Formats: sequence, structure tokens, C-alpha cells
Amino acid sequence: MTTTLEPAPIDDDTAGVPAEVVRTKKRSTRVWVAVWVVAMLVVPWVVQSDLWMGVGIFALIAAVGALGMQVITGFAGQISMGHAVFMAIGAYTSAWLGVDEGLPVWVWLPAAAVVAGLAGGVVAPAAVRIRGLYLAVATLALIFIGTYVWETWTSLSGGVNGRTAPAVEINGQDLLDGYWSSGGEEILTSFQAWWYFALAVLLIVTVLTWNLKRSRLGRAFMAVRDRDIAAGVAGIPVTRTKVVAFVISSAFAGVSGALLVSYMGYFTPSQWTMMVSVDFIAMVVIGGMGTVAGAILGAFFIKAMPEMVNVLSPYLPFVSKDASADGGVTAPLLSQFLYGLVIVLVLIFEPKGLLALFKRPIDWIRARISGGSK
Amino acid sequence: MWVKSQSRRDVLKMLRKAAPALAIATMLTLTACGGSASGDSASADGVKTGKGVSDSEINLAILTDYSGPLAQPATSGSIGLEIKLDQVNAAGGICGRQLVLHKMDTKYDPQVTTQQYRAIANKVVMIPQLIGTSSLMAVKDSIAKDDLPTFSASLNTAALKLEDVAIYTPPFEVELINGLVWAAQKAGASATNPLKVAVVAPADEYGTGYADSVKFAAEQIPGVEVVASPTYSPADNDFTAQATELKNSGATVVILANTMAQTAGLVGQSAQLGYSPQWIGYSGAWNAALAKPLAGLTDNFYVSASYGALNDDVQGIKDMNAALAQYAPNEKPSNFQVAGWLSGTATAAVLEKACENKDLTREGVLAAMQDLDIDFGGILPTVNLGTGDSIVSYQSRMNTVNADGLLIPTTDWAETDQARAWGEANGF
Amino acid sequence: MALFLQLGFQGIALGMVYGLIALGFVIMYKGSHTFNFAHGEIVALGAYTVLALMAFMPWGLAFLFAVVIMVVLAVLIEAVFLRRMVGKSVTTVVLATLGISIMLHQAILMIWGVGTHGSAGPVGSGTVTVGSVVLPWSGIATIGTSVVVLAGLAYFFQKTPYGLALRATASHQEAALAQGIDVRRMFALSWGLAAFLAVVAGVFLASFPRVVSPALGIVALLAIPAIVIGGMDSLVGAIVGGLIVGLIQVMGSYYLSDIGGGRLHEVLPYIVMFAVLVVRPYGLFGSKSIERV
Repeated sequence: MTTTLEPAPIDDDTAGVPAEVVRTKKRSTRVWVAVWVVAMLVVPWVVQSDLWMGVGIFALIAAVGALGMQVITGFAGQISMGHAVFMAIGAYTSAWLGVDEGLPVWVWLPAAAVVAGLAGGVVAPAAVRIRGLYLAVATLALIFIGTYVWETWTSLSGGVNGRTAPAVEINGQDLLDGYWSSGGEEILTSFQAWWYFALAVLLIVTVLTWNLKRSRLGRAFMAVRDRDIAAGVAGIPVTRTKVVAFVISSAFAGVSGALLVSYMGYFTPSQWTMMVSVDFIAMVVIGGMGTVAGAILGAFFIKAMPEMVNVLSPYLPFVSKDASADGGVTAPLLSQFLYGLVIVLVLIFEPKGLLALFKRPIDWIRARISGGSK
Repeated sequence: MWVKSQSRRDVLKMLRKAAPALAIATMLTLTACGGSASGDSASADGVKTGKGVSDSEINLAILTDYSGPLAQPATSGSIGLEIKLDQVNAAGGICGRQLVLHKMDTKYDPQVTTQQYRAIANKVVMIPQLIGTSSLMAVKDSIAKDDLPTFSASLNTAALKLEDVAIYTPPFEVELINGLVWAAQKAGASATNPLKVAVVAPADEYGTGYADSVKFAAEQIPGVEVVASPTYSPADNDFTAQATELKNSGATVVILANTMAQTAGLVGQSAQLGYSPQWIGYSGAWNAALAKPLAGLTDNFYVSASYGALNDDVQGIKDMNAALAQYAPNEKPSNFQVAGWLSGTATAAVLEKACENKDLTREGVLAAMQDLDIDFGGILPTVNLGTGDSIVSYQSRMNTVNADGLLIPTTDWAETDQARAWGEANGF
Repeated sequence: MALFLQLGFQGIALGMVYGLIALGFVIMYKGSHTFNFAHGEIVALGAYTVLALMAFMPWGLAFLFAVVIMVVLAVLIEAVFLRRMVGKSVTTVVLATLGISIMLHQAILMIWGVGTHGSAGPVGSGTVTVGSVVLPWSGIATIGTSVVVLAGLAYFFQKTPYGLALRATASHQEAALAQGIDVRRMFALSWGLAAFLAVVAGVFLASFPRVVSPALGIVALLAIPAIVIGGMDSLVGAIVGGLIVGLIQVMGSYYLSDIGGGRLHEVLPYIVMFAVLVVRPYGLFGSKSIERV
């Protein structure tokens, strides 16, 4: 009944662009890529702050989940509020295999993906028969049902007290303790070691997502997103395509959940809330719907924002420094308020997300360069 | 071959698009370089210092809920701690160093708690107050690994056995048991004069523990029988089922092991059903704000609390009121400020001892906590921290509530054999 | 038997509160095709406003002024934020209303603090006893008000020009435009009406022994299963769905307390909701034209 009036976003931005500009873009692309990769590798040596390294690691972990969200919402156009549930499934799978059964990370991490993906496959056939808003509230129900299951299945979840998560062990060393040489010297701190591990997983998932987007399946997702009735007429099996999108998205969520609890070290059933799912929707929408980089950008932005407000708040005159139970603009309340405000502002002014916002000056510069070189 | 260069171009383009992520990440990280942790060293005045302690500062962190479900008692608790630290600083600090408190908002979420803990852990020598059992659980392993001395403000026995975590007041179960024993004595319960009691608890493991402690104690008192033990779920906002079950059981004393969010519903709806037993809540079941909805219904309501009240006439409260007037004059009074004040008092005592021992490293602080007597100025009886793995005190006190919801003590500090028996039976 | 009736009455009373909240959701859905996740916080804000005004004036006046304030606020939110979302995808609109809900919640905490306050209901804790069943006046007032409101809304939609215009806009926007109906005004009207219902729901949600507190917005989320079960575009469905959820909660808290760890009644509304969505997504009374592949 509700039809989308906005035109489908053009994902290949080299369409209809003159060849000269494309070549300039390719060259600058390679430069940007090299800079980005080097920067991500160098960050742990440059950044001294525990706070921001921690934020960065949580952001890398969240980016994996955000990519999953991008698959289901950005590519396939299905709104799911159940991401938290699949993260939890991945988390509990990894805990069971990694802690209870003592298996190593290269078993429990993929297993988290597989089990969460299967769970997505079980839920999806029912869920994807309904569209739009109904899917949103159906997946919302899953969160409350999920919370109930985690809290009552105490042998798996440890009940309200929670349970330990598996550690990531490379060469017998728990990365949370850092990485040490055999001579007893610390080569990497725990922050640095975990940054690289999370980055490695993110890069793998990123390449997978990118390939997916460019593949036939990815194009089928986008056809279903834009005009699913037309897609069906064109011969795309709509229900099956949606289910596959759900499975892939849930699998990524499972990986993200397993990484998250492993980094936390200990986790409780009460943390898989609706706000977790909302965070992921915000990440892809604010970062840039339908793009791989947008998901990653959105993840960093959402995870960093509360801390940015905390850093800024001593300089804002209207923020009261004292805690008070009776009201007043304090940093924690303000940061949450701004979180909501930023979501709304981005949706109003730049619905294509921050990625598009950043591209504007870059494209302007590029147009100047190529225009000037003529 | 065309395909290969195509996909490489795509990968490059993908990575190029991630450039803004790079920009954000580097901008954030480079502008936010913080200091690295310092190792142990001896300072000019011969005091050994470690992480979190410099020549002029002792850094502490509070991890609590400033914006989530526990925000009201947690914020009051934070204020209580802050004014005590302000007072200590005004008097010259400890070992000539000023106490600096880093306030970290956990939102009562385990993930946020972990993030905030990791952000601050290397910068502080001690955590004077950590609120929220699930928050505590999330970081307990890190606390043990980092050897970071921590006072838990959640008076749950789950926290007692944790390494490097201590509680300086009796746990909730002791408050509940002592309340039951007092009620039984007041009613003159005996084998010939039986007393029917009930206990209301949450439908989770904590609730089962609370209910079990009450049942344990009831078995120890001749004539006392637990005739009903209804549970509730945190999402409940109607308590007809529980109120009716209580009423039909004929219990004349009801022990409330619920949080303050359920008290109004339980007491209020019971009153509407014509059921008015003697209510006995532990310290977490009451909040001054409940006086409004329960106006006129609290004549038979008692709070069994392990720490004192704002209107006690003791030195500790006088000091606290002076600090409140000076450092937080606009705050409405709340008994949870007292709880926060206690954490400040305990922390100051520990740090003073560590200063005397000339060791302000984490190990030094942990050592100072061993077997330390803490004088709370009469707000509660002096406690000895022992090894940190046992219940430090079994003493509590009964209070009524006045029209403003403030606690008015009606008995002296006392402990009960039944509470001790329960503690022993559970290995504390 | 008395217990069954007692629980039944309380379940109906609580269910009517959910129904009133659900009515607001439904009106907005019918009028502007938006599912407004922020409605729960508007209900909470309505209750806070009434309570704040109650300090200066009698309850009736406080209620009226609060309605005016909330209607103005809701219309403003619609005009400033949601109007620009027309035609955007479902995901965008849902996220926008979630963002607004976050802002409203934090605004409540910043203005009134994080603690609990008093009750904002029209009647106190008094009761009337019929046989062996105790009927709290607040429950009677809730039920009575809901019936009156429902009747009023039914009359509004069937018999008044604005009501008919709203229904026309809901069923086919373009046709309504062609008829000369000011669609923007219809959007504003549906939000304003929902705001009025929010204040009504809010005062009953915060009636004895419940109080005005930051948790009100979350309690309002229970109206979502109510709407789904009843049918997202049905007024009667909203009330019936609310009743079902309320009864499940209250009856379940007694009769199901031994199963599933004593918390089954908490999750049962969501299980039923999920089942309804799978089997009959348009709910008990909703219209069939709704999304299905």
C-alpha cells in the first residue's frame, strides 16, 4: 500500500560520467585506498588514549554488524529490528563452543556466523511474507521474545548474572592481555592486539559484502528493494531472495555479537535490547544507505558520538557539571539527546547519509580539477 | 582479464569510499591522545605510587547509571560520594594529594560499562563506587586482572566473592532476615502463637536468593511460617495477582524483596483490596518519592536498613549535611545520598591507611583494605573489612517513614543469630 | 471465581489504558501512514505536563491546558520533522520517529529529572465493592472514558466533514487531493488528535498506584502488540487489542506464574503478536489490503 516515491539510488557513480573523470577518480581512488589502509594499520601506534582506542575497537566490531544491517536494509530494503537477537545468538554460540567446549577462535567465530545465519533462515520465511512496517514490528517482537529466552535459559546464558565469553587466543595468548614475545616483552598492548584482530575480521567481511553487492545476488537484492512486484515479474524469486538476505545479514550479526562479547569478556542477557538494533539502523541510515563504506562510517560515527559530546561538554556553557537527580542538562543526558537529534537532522537534510555529505566537497574539488585540466 | 581489473577497480573504489571513515577515525584519535599509564615509582615524599597517582593527585573513578533505570538512586549516590571527596580535598586531601573523581556513565548496560571501564582503568587507582549488579558482573574479570580495588554499591552477595571487590555494609539478605526476626519478636511469635509471613521477590535468580534467605530464617524461628512467596516480573505494572495471593494467604507480615519500582503498586493495590499487613522492605525497596503515591498508607510500613538516615543525630550525618549545604545546596534530600557518603568515607579511610603505609599503588590500597576498621561517624556501626570475601557486618536497624518519605529510626543497631546462621550456611 | 473476576476487571482496566495509547497510534497511521514510535514518549510527556500543571490549578484545568500544549507540540513535530519525510522509505520514517522518541525522553529527564513523581490521574485510590470484587475508581474511570472516547471518535469519523476527509486521505491520498482536501491539514489533524488521546492515555497510565516516571514511555510500548493484534488501521481493533494484551498480562501473572520461570506473561503478548503477523498480518479487525508478499 505504501509505495516509495523516491527514485532508486544509483550505486555505480561512474554511470554517465565522462571517461576522463573516471580515470581521475581511479587514480585518486587508489591514493585514498592506500592512505586508508595505512592509516588503519598505523592508528594503534599513534593513538595513546585508552578511551578512543576502546571506542575504535567497539566501532570496528559494530561495523561488522552494520555491514550485515546494510545487506538486509540497504541492499534488500527490508527493515529489521531484530539485529540484537542474531548478535545474541552468535554470542551464545561462541560462548558455548569457546568456553564450555573449549574450542579455539577459528571454530567458534565461524560457528557463530553459521548458527546465527541458520536462525535467520528459520525466522525469515515467516518474517519476509510481510512487508515494511509489519516486518519492523515483527522483528521488534523477536527482541522481547529473545530477552525472555536468554534470561530463562540459564544453563546457556548464566541467567541474570551472565556468563564468560570466549577469549581470542593467537599462539596461545589471550589478546585481551596483549601480545608478548617468547622473551617476555610486550609487542602489542591489549588495545593494539584487539584492534588488529577486529580490523582483520572487518576487512574480510567488507570484501565479502562488496563482492555480494556486485554479484548477481546483490543485484537481485536491489531489485527486490526497489520494486519487488516488478522483480517478481522479471523472474526473481522474491521470497527466497529476501530469505537469503536475512540469512547473510544474521550471519554477520552473529559474528559481530561473538566479537563483541569476546572483547567484553563477560556478558549478560539484559544487554540485547531494542536500542542495540536501533543503533544499527542508525548506523546504516546515517552512514549512507546501500553503500559498504557508509556502513563502516556510520558505525564509527555512532560509537564515537557519545564520547565526542563528553569531550565537548565542558566547553558548552549550558551543560551542568554536577550530577543531579532533579533535572538539568548534564553530559550523559545531552549526549543521548544529541544522538536522537543527529539521527533526525541527517534524515531531513542528507538522507543519503554522511558519506554523501563528505562526497560533496570531494566531488566539487574533483570537478574543479578535471574541469581545469581541459 | 577484463573481469580481474574490473573487480580490482571496484575494490579500490570501495576502499576509496571508506576514506571519510579514515578521516573521522584519524581526526578523532589524533585529537584525543591521552596520557599513557605510568608504572610504579617512589615520589618525593617517599610514598610509593602507581597507576592513577601522581605527586599532586589521586585519581578515582565512579561507574554508575546517570541516565538509565537506576538513575535516581545512582545519581544521589554519586552526589554523596562527591561531596565527601570535596570535603576531604578542602581539608588538604590525602598524602598531600587532591582526590580527583572521574564520573563514568554506564547507563546500566554491560557493554557501555565495559567500554567505560576500559577507558578509565589505566588512569585510576581505585573505584569507590560501582552501581548495578549486571554492570559489576560485566567487568569483574577485568577488575581481578587489573587488581583494581573496588567498592560495590550493589549490596548483593554475588559481589562478595569477587576478587578485589568489597562491600562495607551488610548485604540485602541480612536486611531482609533481620527485618523478619524483628517482626516476629514484635508479634510475639512462638509455637503457640504462630505468625504467617509472606515474601515478595523478583522472578529471577536474585529473587530466589532473597526468598530463600527469608525462608531459611523463618525455619529458625519457632512459630513463623512463610505462607506465600509471590514473584513479579520487572515489566509488571499491575499487582492484583500478587496482592490477592498475599491477602488470601492470611499473612500478617509481608517482607518486600522488590525494588522501589514495585512498592507503590504492591502496597497501593493491596490497600485497595482491603489488605493492610505489616510491610517490611529492605533498603532498596524504598525511596523518598514513594511518599507521594502512598500518602496515608505507610503507617504500617517499615524499612530494614543497614545504613543510617538523613535525620540521624550523629556526627557523620552532621558532617554530611554540612558538606551538602556547601557543595550541593540545590539537591533534594534523598537517603541514597547517605549511601554515597558512606562510599566516600570508606574510600577516604582506605586511602589514609595506604598513605600511612606509604604505598599508594593498587597493591598498597588492596593491602590497606585488609582488616581495616572503618568509622562512619555513627551512620552505621564501625565495620572491619576483613579479607573482603565475607560479610563485614550483620547489623541493621528498623525505620518508619515520615510524610516526606524520609526514614525515621525506631530501633537501635542490632544483629540476629538467624542472619549469622544464614551467612555461615552460605559460606560467607 | 471472585479472583477470576477481580483479575478480569484489572486486566480490562489496564487493557483499556493500552487501548487508549493504541488508538493514538492508529489515528496517526490512518491519517498520515506513519507508525510513530515516538507516541509512547508523547503519552509520557502528556502525563508529566498534567502533573506539572496540577501544582497550580485543579485537575480539570490542568488536563485541558496539557491537551492544548501537547496538541501544539505534536502538530509542530509533524510539520517540522515528519512533513519532510513524505515519500521516503519506511526505514527512514521509522528511524526518524525513533530519533524523535529519544529526544523527547531525554528532554523529559533534563526538565524533570530522572526520578519518580506523584500520580496524575483524575481520581485517587478510592474503590467501590460489588459483591466480592473490588473495583478501583481509576479502573472504572478508565473504562468509562475509553468507551466515551471510542464513541466520540466513531461519530467523528462517520459523521463529521473533517472525519470523513481524514478517512478519505487515509484510504487514497491522491484521490483526496483531487477532491480538494488539504492533505497537509489532515496530517496535522491526525497528529493533533493522537496527541489529545495521548494525554488521556497518559493520565490513566499514571493513575494510582502508578506514578509519573521516566519509565512511562517504555510501558507505552506494550500498545504495539495491541495494535498488531487488533489491526493497525482499526479503531475498534486498537481497543480490543489493548484488552487482550492487558488481560494476558494480568491474568497471566496469576495463572501462568508457575510456568516458564514466572515471566511467561511478560513475553506472551509478543508471541501472540508474532503469531498474528505470520498468520493474519492485518489483525483481527484491520483491512486486508495490507503488505503481504
